[in-house]
Amino acid sequence: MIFLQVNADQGISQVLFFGTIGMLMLAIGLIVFIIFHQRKVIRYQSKLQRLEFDHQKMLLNASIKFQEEERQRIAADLHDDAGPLLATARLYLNENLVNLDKSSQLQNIFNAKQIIDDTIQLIRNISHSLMPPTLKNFGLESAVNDMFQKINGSGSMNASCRFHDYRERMDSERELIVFRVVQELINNILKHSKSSFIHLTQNLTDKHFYIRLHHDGKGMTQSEFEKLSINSSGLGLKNIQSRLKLLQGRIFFEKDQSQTYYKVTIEIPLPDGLAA
Amino acid sequence: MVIVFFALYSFVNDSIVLGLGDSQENNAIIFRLLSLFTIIEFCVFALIIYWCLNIRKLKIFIVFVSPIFIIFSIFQFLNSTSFYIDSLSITIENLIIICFAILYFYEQLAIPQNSFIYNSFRFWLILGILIYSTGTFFFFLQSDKLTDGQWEDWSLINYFCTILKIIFFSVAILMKKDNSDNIYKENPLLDDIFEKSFEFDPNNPD
Repeated sequence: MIFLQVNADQGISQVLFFGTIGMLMLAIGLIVFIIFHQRKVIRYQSKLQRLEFDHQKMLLNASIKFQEEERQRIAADLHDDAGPLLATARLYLNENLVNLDKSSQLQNIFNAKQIIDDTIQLIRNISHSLMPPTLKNFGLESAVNDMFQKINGSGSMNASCRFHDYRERMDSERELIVFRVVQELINNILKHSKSSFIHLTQNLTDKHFYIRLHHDGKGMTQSEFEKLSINSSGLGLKNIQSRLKLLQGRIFFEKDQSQTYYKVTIEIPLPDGLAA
Repeated sequence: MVIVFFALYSFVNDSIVLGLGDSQENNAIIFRLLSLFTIIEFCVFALIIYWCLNIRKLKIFIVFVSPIFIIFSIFQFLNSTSFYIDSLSITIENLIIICFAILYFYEQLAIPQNSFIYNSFRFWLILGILIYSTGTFFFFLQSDKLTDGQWEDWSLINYFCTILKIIFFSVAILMKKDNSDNIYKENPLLDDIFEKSFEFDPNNPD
């Protein structure tokens, strides 16, 4: 510092001028270095994250595909094998009851038929829940309608849905994932919310497909969802997240401004063929 | 709040100093006002940098160093025989503040960040402080050797750096405002398309 303290006027001016410029250059140099260094680090990090994301997506994709294939296989097995076998068992029962007295025969036959019919119906239900035929044959709108009709049929809740713009179906994989997410959300609402109604609305923009669920029961907000999907031991919310991640979709939980009901909105980017 | 307080204080202080003029009898008051300004300016800058830091050790360093400088400044303030600007205090203040600002940048390098440094309002606050402190460092270092004419001429550096500091602080305030606005834009999933096409009535859902 001492050598900078020059007495001559000329010297002071020079020291002031060059010193100030030097200090500013040093400060700017430091900041530029930090910015460029950080950009480099962030770029490297995002590259790593992208690789990680691709890897996770691949795993998830494989896992979900495997799960769905397995479900389809079980559905086919139950429907094609277990059903006819039980139906045949019912026929055998009819033939082997000849040795009993008449009233017992009638009673046994009636009971056996009843049980077997129930079993057949049960197996059919399992089969349908594993791979809803309505979804496969008639699409998401019909499958959701079907599901809502069943809820309505129970009489405990008013369920309704409206698809505003779903003229062109998405591919079956995408539909299945969306259906599973909606199914999971509906299940959660039925189990936890104690609501008196559920309403589902579908909408479409140029690039996105939207589904929104309203209900008047106990719901959750986005922050609660994020907290629960990390901390909760249940798989439901995690499944919702991983399924949506596969479609690069998003979900948003919120309470309506009127504070009377909760909303859950799902956003799915449309595939290139469907996007306007 | 701290920045607003500092801006108001600077404005009032500068106005009083300008109002008192160059007369000999006001030199003592001006000296006291400027010395007090140095202490308050240091406290404000140290506080801002303290808030911007996350690493505990660095924060403790600031907490440890700041009182030493403040005590030194008060000592200078009370024991000074001349009523000319206290070059030593201001130079030491600048040096300490530059070190503190470098600590912030060190922290940014040490902790991996997800977003770019300039996306944070803290960066602009520290940038303002650093540019001001480095820019005026030599001016205040030499200030007790400057003649009145030279002081007038070279004050340009001080004004220029002060303007830069104010610009960077303004950017920081605007960025912070933007960030807080974004909280309300957090729901990215359009409400409009649902409201436009379908007015939902819970009593008559279909």
